[in-house]
Amino acid sequence: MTAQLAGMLDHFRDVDALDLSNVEPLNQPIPLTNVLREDVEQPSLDRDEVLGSAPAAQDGRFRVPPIIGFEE
Amino acid sequence: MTHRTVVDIAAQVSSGSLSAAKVLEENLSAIDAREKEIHAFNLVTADRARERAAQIDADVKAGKKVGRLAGVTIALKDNMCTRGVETTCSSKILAGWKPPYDATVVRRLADEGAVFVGKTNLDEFAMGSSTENSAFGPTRNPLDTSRVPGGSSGGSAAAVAAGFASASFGSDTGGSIRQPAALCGLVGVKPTYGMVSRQGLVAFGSSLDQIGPFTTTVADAALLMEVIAGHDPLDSTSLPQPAPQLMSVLSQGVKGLRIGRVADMPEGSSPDVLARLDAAFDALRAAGATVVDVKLPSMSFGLTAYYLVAPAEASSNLARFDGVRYGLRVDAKDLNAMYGATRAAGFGDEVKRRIMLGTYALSAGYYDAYYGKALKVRRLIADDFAKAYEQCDAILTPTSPTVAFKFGDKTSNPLAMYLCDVFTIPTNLAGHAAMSVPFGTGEAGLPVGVQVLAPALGEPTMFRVAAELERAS
Repeated sequence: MTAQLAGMLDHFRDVDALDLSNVEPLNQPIPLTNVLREDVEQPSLDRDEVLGSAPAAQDGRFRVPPIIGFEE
Repeated sequence: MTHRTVVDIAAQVSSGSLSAAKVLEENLSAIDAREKEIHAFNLVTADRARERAAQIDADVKAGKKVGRLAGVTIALKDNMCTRGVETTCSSKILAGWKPPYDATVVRRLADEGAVFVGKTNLDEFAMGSSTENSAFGPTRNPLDTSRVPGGSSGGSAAAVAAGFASASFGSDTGGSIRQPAALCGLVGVKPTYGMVSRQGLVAFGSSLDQIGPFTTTVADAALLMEVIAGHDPLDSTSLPQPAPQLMSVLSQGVKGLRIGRVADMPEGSSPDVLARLDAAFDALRAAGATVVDVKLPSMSFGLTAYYLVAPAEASSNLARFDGVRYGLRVDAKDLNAMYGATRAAGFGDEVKRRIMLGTYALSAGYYDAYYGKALKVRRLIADDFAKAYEQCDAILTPTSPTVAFKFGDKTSNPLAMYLCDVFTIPTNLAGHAAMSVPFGTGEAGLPVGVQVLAPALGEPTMFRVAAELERAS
């Protein structure tokens, strides 16, 4: 996979032929920015249904392995 | 077996001259006969579909108002959330996950009386052009089972081509609807970015993804677009626009339209495909359109821009698959080790390749050299299109450089696979509208698709051109 990735990055050098010095980057194709909805309460997802598809849950929360304390 | 169109089913079921149950049973027997060989589906929801069809027939009998898609059987790409129904993205990391909500598109289709027959196979997380990258095995092209159906929405294309559903939906990030539509002889639409809600579509490249239909006729695609398009407050990139009126433009013809031919088109298309493209220009000219030469000098750099932008966005989007909230978890001594073990076991090679490429392109030392440069190329491509559309109303190109290829032909060389998308990718980068229309056959009698491109919100013009090509083919 390393060789494949190197080959791809090599191929991507084709754009070096372009003069991009005065080009503005285009992040996304439509001019919408900061789209917000009215700040009113709306129904949310059912908690039990959401937790029901988690690999592990306990007391109404997602359960995860220890976050700290196992550094080598 | 004759394929029933969406338009016919909706009209006949709502008038009571055809039952939704009969339509569904025809699809289910086709599935029984060929699904083992084709593998279009990750899941067939026959029981749910039968209940739904029976309900629609009961409503019709009781004289209740039914929707615009009453009894229309539909297959959904397995990256669209369906409440309580497994949604996997053809990845081991999501196997078994049942979403707690429906995608907006799914809800809109259901509200109009659609009957969902199942969830279709795809390249894992929609990354691929042949559906060979699915964690659950490839889908075969129903027209020639030694060949791929295209991808990434290969299962959705195969499902319609094999008569398993009257229509289907896919997602298109760089060609994933149009290319399989071309390879399976179908109509496939990539709407203008923001026209169709992405809410509930598992994100791949958020600034590129759009949902669209696969159908056997242009009118079917127009009707389905009218149902799914239009503003959705749940998607912050949804355009504040109503759905376009498309059914009413289909008979308008192309008289007076200017159709662009790309004079500096990237090379590499096979002669059979180019011959059909020429024939398409001839057909439009004969119908009263004029053909003008346009230039898109940055088009061939689209591939590079896309294969940096899409993996960069994917590497960010796929970070949510961490073994905490859904899907697979591989237990390990602490949280970081669990993330690593889960992703190592859950993601396939192509997904890993793109996450690594994306994180590399975004990393501090290489951002300007890769991602930053790709965004500038993206601007050049959008500017090229803007200039071209000053001279023409729509542009015609091949959809795919070749007809459907054989299994394994391109799997050993990712770059060769990526080249499948050379004609489809630029539209996603610019956010414009595009669709593939079947236009005759090429090598080995396999279908060739012609791609119709139009500017943002140019769907009415695009569908006029597509309808004319359909009449001429």
